[in-house]
Amino acid sequence: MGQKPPDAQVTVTNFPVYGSDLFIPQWIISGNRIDPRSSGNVYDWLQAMTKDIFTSASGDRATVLNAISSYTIDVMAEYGKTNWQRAPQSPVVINPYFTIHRTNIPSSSVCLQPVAKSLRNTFLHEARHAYQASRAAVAGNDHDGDFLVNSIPIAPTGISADTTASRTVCNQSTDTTLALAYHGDSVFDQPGAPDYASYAWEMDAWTFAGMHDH
Amino acid sequence: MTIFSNSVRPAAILSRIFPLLCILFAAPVFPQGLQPPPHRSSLPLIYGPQTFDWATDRGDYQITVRVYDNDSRVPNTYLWDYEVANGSFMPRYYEDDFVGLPFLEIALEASFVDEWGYNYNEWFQNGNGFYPSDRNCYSGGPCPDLVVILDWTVMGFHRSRDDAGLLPGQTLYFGFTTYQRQRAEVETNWSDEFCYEGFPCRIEWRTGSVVIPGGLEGGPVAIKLEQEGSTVISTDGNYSEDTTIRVTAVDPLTGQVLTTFSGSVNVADLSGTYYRKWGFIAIFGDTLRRNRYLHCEIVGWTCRGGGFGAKAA
Repeated sequence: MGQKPPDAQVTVTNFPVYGSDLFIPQWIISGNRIDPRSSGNVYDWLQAMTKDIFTSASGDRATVLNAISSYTIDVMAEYGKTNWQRAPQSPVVINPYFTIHRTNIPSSSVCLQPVAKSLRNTFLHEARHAYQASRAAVAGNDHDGDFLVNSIPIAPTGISADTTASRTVCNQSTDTTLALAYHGDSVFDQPGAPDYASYAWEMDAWTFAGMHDH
Repeated sequence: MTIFSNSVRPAAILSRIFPLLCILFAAPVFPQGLQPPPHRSSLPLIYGPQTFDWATDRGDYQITVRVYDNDSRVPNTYLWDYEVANGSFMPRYYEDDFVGLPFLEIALEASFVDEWGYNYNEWFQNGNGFYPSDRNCYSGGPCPDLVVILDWTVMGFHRSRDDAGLLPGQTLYFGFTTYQRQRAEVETNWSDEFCYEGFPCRIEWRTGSVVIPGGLEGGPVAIKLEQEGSTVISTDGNYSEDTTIRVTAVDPLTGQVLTTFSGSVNVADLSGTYYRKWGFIAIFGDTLRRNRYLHCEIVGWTCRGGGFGAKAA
C-alpha cells in the first residue's frame, strides 16, 4: 500500500540475455496531461480512467462530478477525500494505491450501499461531497454553516437535509447505519459528537455513488 | 566449437590435452554398469554415429560421436555424446606405474567456455564427471589462449594408482551440451607421442570434421531486449500500460545482429508482482502471468510486441 508496483523485469528464459534484463517502469507519469482536471503528478492510467469517467457522465452524474475542480493523488488510509470549499467547486484527493482502484472492480458495500466500480464510486463519492459544499454556498441554503442544507435538488434529497426528521445515516468508520435527526438550519450541528452531522454527509455521498457507479 | 582445433595442435601442447591418458599402477578396479543415458534414445539424432579409430602400438580404441538435438535439460542445445570402446588396448605396468586409461580430456576453444552445459561421465562413481576446476590445462599450467580442458575421470580417482582405466571389451560414455552449432571439428589427423616418466607410447587418433546442418554458424546466440518507444495507456477500456519490446538475436560477444537466426524465444517477467484483472503482458498474442513465459518467434532477426497489463500495487 502506498507504492506503485516495481518495474517489470523482462528476461529470456531459454537464451542468455545480451547486456541485461529489460526493466520497464510501471505506473508511468509521462508528463503528458491526459486529463486536464488532474493536478500535479498523477499516473497516466489514473488520468486516462478518470477522464473517461467524466466524459461518459451525463445528467445528474455529470452535474455532481462537475463539482470537482481538480484532483491530486496521495497516500492515505481513505479511498479519497474532499477539501471542500463553500464554492461551486472543490478539489479532491484520490488514493490510487488500492487494487480496487487500479482495476476499478466491485468492492464491499459501505453502510449497505453497493460499490460496483470502485474508482468511479470514489470519484462520485468525493464529487458528492463537493456538490454538498456547492449547495451550502447557495445563499440562504445553509444559515447555520454546518453543511447540512435546506435544499439539495439531486437525489438523495433527504439525507443531508438540515431538518429534525429522522433519517438513516452512516458511521463509515464502523460500517454501521443508525437513525439520526438534526437541529434544523438555525442551530449548528457538530460534525462529530454530539450531533454527528458527518454521518449524514457520508450517507448522502455513499448513497449517491452507489446509485450512479454502475 | 572446435575440439582439438588445428590452431592448438603444436606438439608442445598436445601432451597436455591428450584425449586418453594412462598413468596408473597397482591392482585395477573395474567399473560396473555402463549404460548410455536413458534420455538419449528419445532425442533426435542430428549427427552420427561416426566412429573414429584410435590405433596405438598397444592396441586400439574406437570413439563414436553422436550429436543429439534439444537436450531437454538444457533447451535449445546440442548434446554431444562420445562413446569410447576399448577394443584391444591393454593396460600394463611400467616402473611401478599402471598404464591404462583413467580419464579423458577434451579441449575447447576458450571463447566457448560459457556455453558448456550439462555434462556427464557414467563411470564417475559419485555421479559427476566434470568440475569447473577442471577448466584448466593438464599439468596445472595456464591454458593456451584458445584452449580450455574438460576432464572426464573414468574411475573417479584422477590418475589414481589403483585404477587401470578402461579395459579391453569395455565401453564408456561421456558428453556435454553446447549451444546449437553448425560446425565442430573433432580432431583432424592428429597424432603425437605421449611419454610418461620415460615410457614411450605412440598415440594416434585420426578423425574428421563433424558438420551439422541446420544449426548455428559461428558463435552462440544471445538475445537482446529493448524497449521501442514510450509506454502508452491502452484505449481498449483496460487502461493497461502498453510497451513494445524488441527481441533480437545477437552474437553474445560482439552484439552483432544474427540476421539468419530463427527460433523460439521465451520471454518472462521476473518482477514477481501479480497482474490483476487484466493481469498480463500481452507481448506476443499470449498472456503472461506469474511464473510463465511467452514465446516470441524470431524469423530473420527480430520480433516485437507490447501490452503490459494493469499492475496493481
